[in-house]
Amino acid sequence: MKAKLSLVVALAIIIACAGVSMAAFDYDSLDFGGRTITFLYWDPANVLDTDVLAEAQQRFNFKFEYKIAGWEEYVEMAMARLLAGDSQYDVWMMTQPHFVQLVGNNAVMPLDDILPADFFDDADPTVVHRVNSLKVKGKTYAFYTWQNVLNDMVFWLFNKDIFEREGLPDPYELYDKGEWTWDTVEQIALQATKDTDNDGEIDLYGIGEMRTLFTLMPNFAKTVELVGDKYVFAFNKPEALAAINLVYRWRTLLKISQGTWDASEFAAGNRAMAGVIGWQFWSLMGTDLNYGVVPLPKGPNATKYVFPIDKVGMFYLPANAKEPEKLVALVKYLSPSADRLQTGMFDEWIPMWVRDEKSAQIMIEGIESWEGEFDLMEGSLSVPLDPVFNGEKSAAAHIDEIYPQIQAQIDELFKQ
Amino acid sequence: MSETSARAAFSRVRRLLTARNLIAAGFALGRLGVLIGVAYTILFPLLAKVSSSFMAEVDIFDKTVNWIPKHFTLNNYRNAIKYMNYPQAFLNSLGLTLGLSLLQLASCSVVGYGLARFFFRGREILFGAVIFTLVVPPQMIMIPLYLNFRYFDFFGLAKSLELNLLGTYWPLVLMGTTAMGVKNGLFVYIMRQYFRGMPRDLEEAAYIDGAGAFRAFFSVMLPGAMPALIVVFLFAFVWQWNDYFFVNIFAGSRELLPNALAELAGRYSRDLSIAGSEYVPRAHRSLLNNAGSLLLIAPLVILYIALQRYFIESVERTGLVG
Repeated sequence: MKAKLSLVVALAIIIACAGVSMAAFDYDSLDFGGRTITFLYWDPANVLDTDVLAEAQQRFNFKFEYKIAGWEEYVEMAMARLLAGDSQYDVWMMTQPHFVQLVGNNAVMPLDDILPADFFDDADPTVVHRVNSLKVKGKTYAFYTWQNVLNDMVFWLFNKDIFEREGLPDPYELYDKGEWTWDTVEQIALQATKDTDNDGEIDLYGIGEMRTLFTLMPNFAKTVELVGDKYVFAFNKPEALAAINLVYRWRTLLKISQGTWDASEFAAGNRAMAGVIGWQFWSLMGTDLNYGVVPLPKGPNATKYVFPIDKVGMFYLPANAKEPEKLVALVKYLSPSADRLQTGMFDEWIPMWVRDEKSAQIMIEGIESWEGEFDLMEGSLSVPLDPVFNGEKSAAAHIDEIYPQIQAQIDELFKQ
Repeated sequence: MSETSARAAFSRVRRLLTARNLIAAGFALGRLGVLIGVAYTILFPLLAKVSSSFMAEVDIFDKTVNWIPKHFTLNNYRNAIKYMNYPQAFLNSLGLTLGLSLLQLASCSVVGYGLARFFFRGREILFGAVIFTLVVPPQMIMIPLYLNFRYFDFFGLAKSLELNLLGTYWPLVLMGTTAMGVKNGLFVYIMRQYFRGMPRDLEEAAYIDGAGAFRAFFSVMLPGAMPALIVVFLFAFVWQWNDYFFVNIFAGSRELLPNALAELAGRYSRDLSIAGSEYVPRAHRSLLNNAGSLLLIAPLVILYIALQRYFIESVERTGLVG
């Protein structure tokens, strides 16, 4: 009995000690011995605080470098560095398409045993959601970010002047009443779409460009689902088919949606509504457009409004990282704190982006209610949907037809 | 005006207005229209870049500003020159491009001549492989090239001596020397076709006079292939000057114009200490990049204007067009 008790006590001490050692970084002893730490990135814009970076290089004895790899070459560049053994002190800054391709080739390091238990204690909640949603088959790969979530959050904008002129219902009221749905938006868009100068051509459309980014998640649909240990193509589910059909219906059947990816028609005042990604607000800021912001209209399958995000930029370590614990600590030190991320969104960006208080409130609600809604496969799969959008085939028939090829793509990506 | 001269003028006009002349004039006008259309399509992006490179940020958001800036500024050029470290990057790029173009010219001429004039087993397969390099995207060979130059063992001849050539100009020099540089498959093809079109009598006369293969090549064939050599050199210069892909992989840390352009926005942002808010200068970045792109191609435009006559003549004589 006494021996058992001693064993339990000893085990408890060992576990406690392990817990302590895994819990906190000892920044005072962090030393990279003058090594060069390379941040592999596709965009040359500076993303880390210059002052913090300069101070950290002195304090932790390392040389910092950005290595730029073009968007198209990113995966090859990362793989080349990994295979050559040059990536031991790399930090990879990636979004989903690059990550998914690399993780399937075992090129990214799982961090479940590396990250200290309290690593996310002081992190912004959106960082934790991003990390969890980017887990692949239960393993953690992404661990921090340089970007706030607002940058890639998708919203629905409406032109207040057009709404007032055409006597259209107030989207804020509809949203508050929970009636901001596909059906309501369709009715509004039908009323708004018209030939204003009577030349026989429609020049004012209800909605700008429609794509599945604006319809899948607001109907609780996904591109893939994890079934057991396998990712399975999920476009054949009713909620996904409805989302795909909606794009066809608005674009081709009813002809109430027309536009380009950059929402330039909305910016020019020729669309009553449009889906817009956060960073596109910077272009709208310079216009005198009087717009309001609401969530994407929800589909019949959804029980709440969803504010999906498009691309998720995160830090990762290569599979051959030499001192992953140290690198993880360094990246966290260099990254914007939770306070900085929140100040950036709530005090700097939102006031610049919106035209009224209600829009600001809705954006804040979007951020606070966000629980990792994004598509892991965004940009990774090639799913040809034009035959459906052009009205050549029904969504169900077309998805059935292409299902084996898409599933093969997924199997190849995840080597499953 | 006398009646006689009026009649003469009238009959001259009548002669000019014959159906044949009218049809010819119609065709000429149509051709002019097509040429203007094609030139506009090609020049439109360039003109748009030129226009916006002189704009202030506020002009981008002003819907009334179309081509002519309301707030004309040279700041984009000043900043681009400063943050690209233009004088240094220009000189480095000029030296590297000139050297590599000459190397590629030399290697592609030799390979092209060999494929045109010497019969050996597998010649056609080898030529097929040269053509194949034209259709293989560079991304596909990026990893093997990277590994090859990261642990360079002299093409397997000195396996124990693994040199890291990355970060130096050596990979580019070696690729140029072995006719494996940017678009070198096309240059080999041009040279081969040109040499094949030259009369064999020239070489045979040289052989009779006691020249060997090298002498015949250098003294007889090369001088006769001047149009093809000019075309290959100019193409090599232009593509090498604009190449970012290989330059970034092998010499990404070097101060060269394509690297400097890629890093322009980053350097500018860092200097302004606006870290963590990469999208604040988004519009400004596009203006800066436009000015930087124009500075990158400016030497090529000047080169083209200066050598336009030779270039067009040579292209015609090599049979690349028409």
